[in-house]
Amino acid sequence: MAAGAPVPALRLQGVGRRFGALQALHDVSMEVAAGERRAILGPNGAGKTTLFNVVAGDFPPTSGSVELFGTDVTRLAPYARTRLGVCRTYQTSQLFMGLTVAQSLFLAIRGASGGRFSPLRPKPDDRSRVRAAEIAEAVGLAADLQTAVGSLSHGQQRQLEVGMALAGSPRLLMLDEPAAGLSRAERITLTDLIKRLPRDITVVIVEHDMDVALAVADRVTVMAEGTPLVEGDPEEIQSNRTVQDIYLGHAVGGRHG
Amino acid sequence: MTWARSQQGITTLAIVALLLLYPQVMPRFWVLSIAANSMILGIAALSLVFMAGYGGMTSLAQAALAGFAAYMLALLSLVPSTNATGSALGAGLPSIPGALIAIALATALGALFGAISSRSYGIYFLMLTLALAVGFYYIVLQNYDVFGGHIGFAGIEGPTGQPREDPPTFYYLCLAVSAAIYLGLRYLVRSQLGLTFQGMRDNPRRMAALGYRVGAHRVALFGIGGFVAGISGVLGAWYRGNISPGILDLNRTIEVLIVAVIGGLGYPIGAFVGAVLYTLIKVFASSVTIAGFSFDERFNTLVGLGFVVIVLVAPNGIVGLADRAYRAVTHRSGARRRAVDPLAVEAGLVPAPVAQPPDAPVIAGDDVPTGS
Ligand SMILES: Nc1ncnc2c1ncn2[C@@H]1O[C@H](COP(=O)(O)OP(=O)(O)OP(=O)(O)O)[C@@H](O)[C@H]1O
Ligand SMILES: [Mg+2]
Repeated sequence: MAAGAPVPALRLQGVGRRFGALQALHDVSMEVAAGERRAILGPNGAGKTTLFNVVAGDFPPTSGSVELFGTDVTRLAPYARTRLGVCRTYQTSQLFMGLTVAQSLFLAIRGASGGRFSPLRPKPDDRSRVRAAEIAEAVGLAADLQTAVGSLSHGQQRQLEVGMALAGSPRLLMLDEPAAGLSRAERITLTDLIKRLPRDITVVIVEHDMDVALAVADRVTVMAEGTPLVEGDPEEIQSNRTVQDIYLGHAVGGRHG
Repeated sequence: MTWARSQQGITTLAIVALLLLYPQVMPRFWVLSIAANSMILGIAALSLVFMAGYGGMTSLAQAALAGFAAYMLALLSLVPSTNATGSALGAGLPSIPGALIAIALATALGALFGAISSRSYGIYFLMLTLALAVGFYYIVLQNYDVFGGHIGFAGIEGPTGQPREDPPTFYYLCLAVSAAIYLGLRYLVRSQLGLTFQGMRDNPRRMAALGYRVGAHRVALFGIGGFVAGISGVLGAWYRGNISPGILDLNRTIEVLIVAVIGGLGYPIGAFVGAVLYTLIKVFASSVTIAGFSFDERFNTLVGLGFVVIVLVAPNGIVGLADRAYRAVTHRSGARRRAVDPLAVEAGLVPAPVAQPPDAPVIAGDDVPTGS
């Protein structure tokens, strides 16, 4: 890359991840520019979630390197990557079932902003609490601030997933199938929410719902068997033969259809 | 709501009045052997309840941490010449500074235990903390020169003198300390730190992804556990006046666990309820013989059976049972749900916690919400 060129939000070089005999990721090299909206598509088991886990630091890659905003984070712990601005959602919700929506969002905000060991109770006008209410509003949970997470509907839990990721003031937001299990109305709200995000947030989204994925994406990467096959803008991808064969053919009537 | 609140206020006031009057009207035995003893045991159990209920860390090292504080207190406050074992050890500090240092050391040891076990969860955490407790017991037993072997130390005296000579004052000391710890922990539960612990309990992986150093928070929680257990150890040493390895052996470890479970692991007040119940059974079982059946000899069997029944019938302990009954009577639907291990959900071991029985609280304490 030429000197002075903008630093990409995410750069993967030759990333591989092996689970025993299974090569879940194989030689993944890709760059996501700052401010870009990137969709990652691929059939079940393609390695999309594994890729997220490697970027977020749940486990290190078995080969290759991960760079965030120009910093090599390959060996960095998850919490340290979050402090660099990586926030993510999970395909299987990872929530605090014993806490309320407000408390969950509050934890998410404070996790990124400091004061993590404070033994004091936040005052009612605490900035983090006010922000938590704003985020709840944005993801359609304003009426459920005091609801226990365990009593939310599945769709509401998925929205809280997104809310908690946004609460961390992300520079790189990674959404793993955020629309899965949402109603049509909830999907539209979610799509609008993602489209309205300011451009200083880079978004990488894994999504089986084409309407959602293609509505928000500038560029699309199609993965299969642990490696990226094709990259292009949404029109190119939709008309690409290889993609139709390996992915779209499979997806119709697949997991969510 | 105001009626319920004032009702609650009156109940609280009545309980406080009863607790304050108690040593004035009750005989010495009831003040010391039942009440003070229960509070000391209750504080130790509370350290476990707090760690387990709010941080998901079921530590079996709490009795050892309490015992450690008691030994440190003895070493710090005894004067070498009056030392019962004739050992040359003893710093001869006054009781209060000695106690404060002993509690600080227990806090530090708790944090060290936390650092050792910070990556262990579930059954591994249980085993590791048990190993630490047993290991410490043998260190105490085998280092005669430092810890006085199986004899231990005698002649430890607190700021209120011999409890036997002035039971009410020692009772008030225990009551004040118990209340301070109880209220302090209840405050902490809704603080940033307390919420962090609960987040850790529910989903450590998500906490890490939100920017928290989960290991460091586990160390902090174990430090708090050591602090509370240490206070129990100090009060216990003042209460008995002497200490021996029996205060931190496996029996004591199990005792603390049983008390916490009987009371209810999700409820801080349960630690004290469980302790009173346990103490009453223990004291009275020893004096009862019906038709040739000595309850004294069968104490462990009885407690063991009671324990099994409680775990089966009321997994949230006596207080959990009462809470459930109260909610059923007042039709207050509890918004408190049992936490489900998200990794277990992901692995398909348990169903996702969408529709759960509404009667399985994990958290008790106040209802101060975090929202605005
Ligand atoms: N922690 C793990 N241990 C062992 N194998 C794993 C682990 N995580 C993922 N795998 C395996 O790696 C492969 C890729 O899985 P991954 O979850 O990344 O796929 P995916 O593209 O997200 O699929 P889906 O669309 O179903 O979510 C799968 O074969 C999966 O079984
Ligand atoms: Mg996936």
